[in-house]
Amino acid sequence: MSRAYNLVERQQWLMQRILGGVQQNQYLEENMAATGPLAIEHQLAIYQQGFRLRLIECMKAEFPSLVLFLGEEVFHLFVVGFLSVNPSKHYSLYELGDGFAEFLASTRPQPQQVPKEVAEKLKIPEQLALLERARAVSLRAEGCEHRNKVTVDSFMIWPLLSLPETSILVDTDFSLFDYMRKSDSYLAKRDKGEEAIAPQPPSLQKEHILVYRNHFRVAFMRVEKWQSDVINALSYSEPCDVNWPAVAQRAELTESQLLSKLTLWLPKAAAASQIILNIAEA
Amino acid sequence: MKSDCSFLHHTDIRPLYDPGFNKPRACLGYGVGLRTCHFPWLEQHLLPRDSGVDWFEAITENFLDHKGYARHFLFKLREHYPIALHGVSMSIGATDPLNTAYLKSLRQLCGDLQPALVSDHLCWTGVNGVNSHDLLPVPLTEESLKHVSERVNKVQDCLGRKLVLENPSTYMCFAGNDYAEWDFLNQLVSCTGCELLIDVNNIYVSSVNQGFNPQTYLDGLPLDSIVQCHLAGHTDCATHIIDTHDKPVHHKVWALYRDLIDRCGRNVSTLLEWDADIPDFPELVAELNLAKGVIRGDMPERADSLRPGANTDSVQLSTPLSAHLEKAPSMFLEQQ
Repeated sequence: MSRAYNLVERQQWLMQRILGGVQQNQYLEENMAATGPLAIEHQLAIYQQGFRLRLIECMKAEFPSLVLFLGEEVFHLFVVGFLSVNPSKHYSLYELGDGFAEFLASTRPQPQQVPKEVAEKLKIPEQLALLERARAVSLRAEGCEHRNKVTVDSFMIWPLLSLPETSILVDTDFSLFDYMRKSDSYLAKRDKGEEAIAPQPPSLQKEHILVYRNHFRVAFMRVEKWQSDVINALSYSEPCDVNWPAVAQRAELTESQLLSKLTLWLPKAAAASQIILNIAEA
Repeated sequence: MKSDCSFLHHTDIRPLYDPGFNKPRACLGYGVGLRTCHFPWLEQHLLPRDSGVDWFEAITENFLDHKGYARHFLFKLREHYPIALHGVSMSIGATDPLNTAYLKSLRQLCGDLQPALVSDHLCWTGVNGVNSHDLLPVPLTEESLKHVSERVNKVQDCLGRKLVLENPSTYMCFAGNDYAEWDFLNQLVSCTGCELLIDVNNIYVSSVNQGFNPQTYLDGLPLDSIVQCHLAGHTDCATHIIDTHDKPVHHKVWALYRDLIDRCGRNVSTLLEWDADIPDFPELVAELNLAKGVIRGDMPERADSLRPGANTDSVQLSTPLSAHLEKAPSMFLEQQ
């Protein structure tokens, strides 16, 4: 008798049916009223199918290059697997893609299970996902747009440096910078109905890619190893705690070489909102 | 016992004071749902005389905790237009506790933006902390009415303003309901003083799917509490209808809209939603402007696509959300 079910039980029942998928159709008659032209199992299926489809569409919007690389079918399989172990627990859909790269990494076969040349390429999806997630984070995070403009005066006293939330370094083992650039261009043309050639898969190539935001626009930039060492140091240290001699050592530079490189790079990096100069703002 | 909204008692987060809490709403005119794909066009046509709309409705969740361009642009629009915040994740009908982090963020955004209306849906989106991101139907029982009323009152206390609730499109109905949806809304308004956003397309979609007469629905509504209408397109799947928001408004929905406005006997803030296959902004405004003609008695001449145009080929998606996610062209720069 349906009256036996209270509000909590009804909601638990429907949620389990939705999360479980279309094979989950127990106790339909007890919980659902037969109304309208559709049979109740088909009514329920609208919610069950819509749940997956809606979240897949949102993941596709956040990871377009990954969809292109994997193909829609494989991408869907990964998303369904990801959501089954990481169901959305946040009110914002922007949180949906958080952890997807790590999920892809966790599902990658062990190197000994596949030939060496295949094993190396299996990291491409997780690294592409890292890059696309970095773009989504940078788009919404606190940026430098409201900070004072950087002028030459800012450098007359060597400032403490830090990273804005919008600057995210992604180290990759593949030519993902070119792949992302070409896939963005390909997808834009395809969306307009123009002819376009899909990019070749990425090749093995170590890259350090800085994702950052300048004047509300997200940008990708390949940086050199020493720059990635500096950015990593800024990511993991408080501005006043950066161990610069250690950074120079990691970058295989002398301290004076690092200083001269920083002198050339920092004004441009600060002007492009890649880093923050922590100077007393008037 | 600690209340779900115990954070309200903290001195730093007193409820917002809204001087217009009990004043009658002014009609905002004709507006559209704000979508990121229209930002470039709106940048070039920022003022109401250029855009052709009177107001915008922004999806609340897309602007909570947001510190990027979309928020910047929303506040730029606010300088020239009334903005309504329209939520999809308040989950007012859920048996989980109210999400206090969500309410705090919403309260903060309301304080910053000063929206004309704050709305969400008569629905729940999940339980056990899981968000389905769907607008799930509320069991329409006595128990549910008491539960939802308590939560609406808490939210109104927290925000210091009336909450506006929208009727969702539904594809199923719980067994053992004590109320029809319109009766439930009536009771909810009586218990809480909340206001209503009536989505005319949702009434039509639910009426076909649940087999009731949409005129009965209109007859049962507390008309004085209606402060906003939604219009949208749907997809006919032959055996049922899905609220896809990807097409022009169906002529039967236009007729229902006219009937609702006639019953209200006054203009009601009207908004067109379009969430998939979104047209260019001028085309959207052209569709919106049909509403003005409908009120004057000029019904759009459209073929009845209900049966011949039925889409039975693929699974259709209700409440599409992916177009709400911000997609901005990225720059690719070689190293400096």
